[in-house]
Amino acid sequence: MRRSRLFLLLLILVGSILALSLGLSVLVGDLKLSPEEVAQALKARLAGQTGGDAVADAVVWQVRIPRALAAAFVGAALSCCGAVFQGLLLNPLAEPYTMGVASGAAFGAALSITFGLGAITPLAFAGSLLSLGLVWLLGRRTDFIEPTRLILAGVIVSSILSAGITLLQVLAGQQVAAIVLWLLGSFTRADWAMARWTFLASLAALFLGLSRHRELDIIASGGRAAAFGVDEERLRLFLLAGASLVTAAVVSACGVIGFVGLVVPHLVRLLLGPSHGRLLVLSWFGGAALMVGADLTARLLGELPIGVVTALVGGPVFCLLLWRRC
Amino acid sequence: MALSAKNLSVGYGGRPVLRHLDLELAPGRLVALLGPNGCGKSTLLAALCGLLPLQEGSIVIDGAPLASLSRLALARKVALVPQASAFTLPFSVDEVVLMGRYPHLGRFGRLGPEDRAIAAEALKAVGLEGFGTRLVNALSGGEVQRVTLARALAQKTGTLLLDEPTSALDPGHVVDVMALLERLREDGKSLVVALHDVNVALASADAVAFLKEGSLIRLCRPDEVDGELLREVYGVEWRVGRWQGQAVALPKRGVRS
Repeated sequence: MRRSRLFLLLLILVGSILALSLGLSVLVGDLKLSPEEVAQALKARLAGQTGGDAVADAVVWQVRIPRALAAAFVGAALSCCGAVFQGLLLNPLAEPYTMGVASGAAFGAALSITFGLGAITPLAFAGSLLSLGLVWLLGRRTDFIEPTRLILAGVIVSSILSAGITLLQVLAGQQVAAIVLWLLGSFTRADWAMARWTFLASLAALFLGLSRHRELDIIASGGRAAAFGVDEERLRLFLLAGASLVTAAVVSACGVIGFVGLVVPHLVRLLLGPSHGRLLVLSWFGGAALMVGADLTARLLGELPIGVVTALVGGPVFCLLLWRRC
Repeated sequence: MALSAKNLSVGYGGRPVLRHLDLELAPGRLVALLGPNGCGKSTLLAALCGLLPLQEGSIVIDGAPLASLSRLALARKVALVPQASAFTLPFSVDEVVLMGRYPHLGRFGRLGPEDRAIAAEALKAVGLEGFGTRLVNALSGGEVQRVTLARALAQKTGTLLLDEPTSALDPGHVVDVMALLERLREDGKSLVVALHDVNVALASADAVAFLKEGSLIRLCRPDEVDGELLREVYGVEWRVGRWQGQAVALPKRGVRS
């Protein structure tokens, strides 16, 4: 029962870190506002008053809070999806983008930017659905879903789409920077709509995993899940499709942010063990805290693309994990 | 009958592994499956708990045709202890044994004190009391084998199918596990146990089923096993005798017929 105690402890710890980083994200920014001004703006709205400092109000309520929340929910959703993919595919390198969702979204976005079609998010979403469908068709034999085959199909479709993205970048001319920036992800466009959307996505990811956490445990333990009454085929279908859709929703909103979905579940597993009930809940909070922290760092360093920050932090962390394992 | 298979044929992708096999198991009986590597023992066990599609024949469990049972209902009637499996992820022993309770929980059912009591009892039965918080990937092969047995016991089924449950155990633990299986038999459970050790089978089983190339060539009492039968099954000469009331079989070295 040690693990359940540790879980509560870590939950409180990570929850506090999340709260702290959310608070910091609201306090800190390009426009220098003193903590009192921020507090004033917060209080005014919460008390239902209008007027006061319009600039502080707009910065706090229309920029900083939705942005911090969107970052948190994206991190949470990606981490939960990563945990589901790793458990389901029995592959430690599986991540939310394993099914080619990211490159599909990137392709859709690049298409939209290059030809000035506008509507980046819907096209990115369409692109991710398209590549998901392709991977599914390739990876699924008529009667059985094989993890290795799916992963391979994901790699193949992703590399074809990457070639397409490179081609679009060549064609894009002046727009090439915009494509590169989108590819690395960012929360500069975050607003309340995005915060709401990603909130729903993160909850969907969490409950998707939690509703099947015992089945995930049995599969991850390497047992013959069918001998315990688990319908493995239907489970794979349900979870792979569900987690991929959530990932597609997230990626098309904020761009491709790597490493969070890969590293956070591994870190949590290292601390708490592989049991999926606890793993998913803690990954939700851990991913949220990490992403808010990364976004804060990106902002403080002059609006770096957030994918750069997560890769710079996540890469070495992952190296360390590998190093310690072997 | 706790379990009966009629005219069973099973194969992988067209290649037949079991051919027209009949087997009946009464409640409170322990049947040992013997036969050379690749003769279809594991395939038979997998088929009996519904893991493989049947090409021909039928299986009836507790009076219900296997095809009519849902996966979960089947997992409440028959438990499988697979061949020595390795755990790669650091699940705790408790977590693994509690997986055996899965077929008894609803979709959003939570593990209750009753489930935990059953899991603790199962761990005690296999002699792993106090191992609950240990991590399965850090256990010895024999301990892992007993953990998987405890997981099957936690399933609380009437029938247990065991695939070489003693292959990784030292002689002392072999005796312990076989004594446990005999106790389960006294409790009225029915057991099918695939074994490689002929003497372990002769000592504990009510009946011995000999498989060769996917066919059941003989089903008999342990005291009916003789050298000729063993030679036919394994392809080497055997000496079979009795020692202090128990049948003992020894293969002869270097004589392959």
